[in-house]
Amino acid sequence: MKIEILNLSKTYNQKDYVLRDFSYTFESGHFYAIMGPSGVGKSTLLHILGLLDEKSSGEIRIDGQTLTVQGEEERADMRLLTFGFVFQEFFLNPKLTVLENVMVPLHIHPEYQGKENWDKKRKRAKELLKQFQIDEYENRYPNELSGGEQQRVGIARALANNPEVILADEPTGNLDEKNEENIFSYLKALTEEGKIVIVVSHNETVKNYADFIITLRKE
Amino acid sequence: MWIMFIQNLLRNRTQVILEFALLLLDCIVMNFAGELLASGISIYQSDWYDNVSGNLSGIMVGGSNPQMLASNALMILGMLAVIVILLLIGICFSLWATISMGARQEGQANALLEAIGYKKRQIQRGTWLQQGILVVASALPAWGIAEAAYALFQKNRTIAQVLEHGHDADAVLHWIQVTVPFVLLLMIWVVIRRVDQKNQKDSLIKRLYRED
Ligand SMILES: Nc1ncnc2c1ncn2[C@@H]1O[C@H](COP(=O)(O)OP(=O)(O)OP(=O)(O)O)[C@@H](O)[C@H]1O
Ligand SMILES: [Mg+2]
Repeated sequence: MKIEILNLSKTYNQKDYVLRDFSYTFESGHFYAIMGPSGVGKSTLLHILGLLDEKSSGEIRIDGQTLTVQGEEERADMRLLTFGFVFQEFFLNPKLTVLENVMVPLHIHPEYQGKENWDKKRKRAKELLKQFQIDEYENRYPNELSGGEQQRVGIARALANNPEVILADEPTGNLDEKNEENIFSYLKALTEEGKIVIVVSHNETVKNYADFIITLRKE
Repeated sequence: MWIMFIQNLLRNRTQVILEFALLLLDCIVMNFAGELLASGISIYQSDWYDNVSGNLSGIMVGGSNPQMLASNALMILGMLAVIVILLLIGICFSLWATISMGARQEGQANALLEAIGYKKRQIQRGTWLQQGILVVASALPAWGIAEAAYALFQKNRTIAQVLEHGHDADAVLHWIQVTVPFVLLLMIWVVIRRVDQKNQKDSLIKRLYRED
């Protein structure tokens, strides 16, 4: 898979540009780190890549095909099947338990449809929780977890659908060194399976894992 | 004060009960204020000096001097108008707080599902009934105001009669006619709210399993 970004610009007020003429190519099997000062547009770039926000101008090509202004449903399908997003602010559903939160994307995933796949969904979710050492909290609610624990639930949820592209906004912002290394090395391992991992981070540790570092600068 | 009070209420576990009490209070007081206003107007307009001392003596501090009674009646009207306006503001605020809180929570949950890849049609949820009832129930107190306006044209048929002739069967009936729908609607609303709150988690999960 190849994602080409060509002259991407984003402005919220038609005057000041958060991103201006940004071009880059992301390819399968690589770990990318996006770095830069606060407010420079890292999250904005990630949101546009993950189809959570609209670009103002420019072009995005996926495997050579221009991503046109598609219908909402197609975009939703891409968000479901292609992208896994780790949010800077976690955004867990407070009314669902940890396990249920991780299962949310699985309920509409084509591979997990139907009652007969109930166990498969649970198994997949539990597997991820175990991977990030939060399996003992599976029946707790998000507000009963620490920030770092919530963050790991958010990561598990983003990975549940086995997405081609993992977009993570400060995934280790609330984690200690041990957990941070665990997450980065897990993401790194995913690139060995051919996935694209794009991580926004202020954290210097990410440099040990990233194949490419993209530094955004204020104009 | 209203704002802090209501915000605290909404965060509270007893939110629903208190919201209910608040709305009920709003309704009753609004209705009552409207009635008072109506009776005040009709009294001032016509035979106020016959009725005023009998009916409003508890509130009025004037003697039997017609001139004094007249100015007192005006003063009461002014006070009532202020009360009505304050109550209107209170109602608008509690309505806004309730609806926007619910909408925001729901909006966030839905945006999250969308971000994960759910389609809009997969996350729609029938809250129209709940919202509709809330709006209607909260709009009903305006009845009291309408009643006051109505009284200007047809004094005889206002609940002001309840105040003027406490034992008049027709007037009591009229009072019931106006008040019962408020209470009924509010009850329905509260029941829906409660059931909804209790089942919010279940309903979210049910929605997720719709296809299963
Ligand atoms: N919805 C919005 N409307 C207007 N301006 C916005 C909006 N979202 C972001 N911005 C602005 O765009 C700029 C870039 O924001 P962004 O969140 O991408 O920064 P960031 O690089 O992720 O920063 P941080 O490291 O603090 O997370 C900021 O100046 C921000 O104020
Ligand atoms: Mg950011």
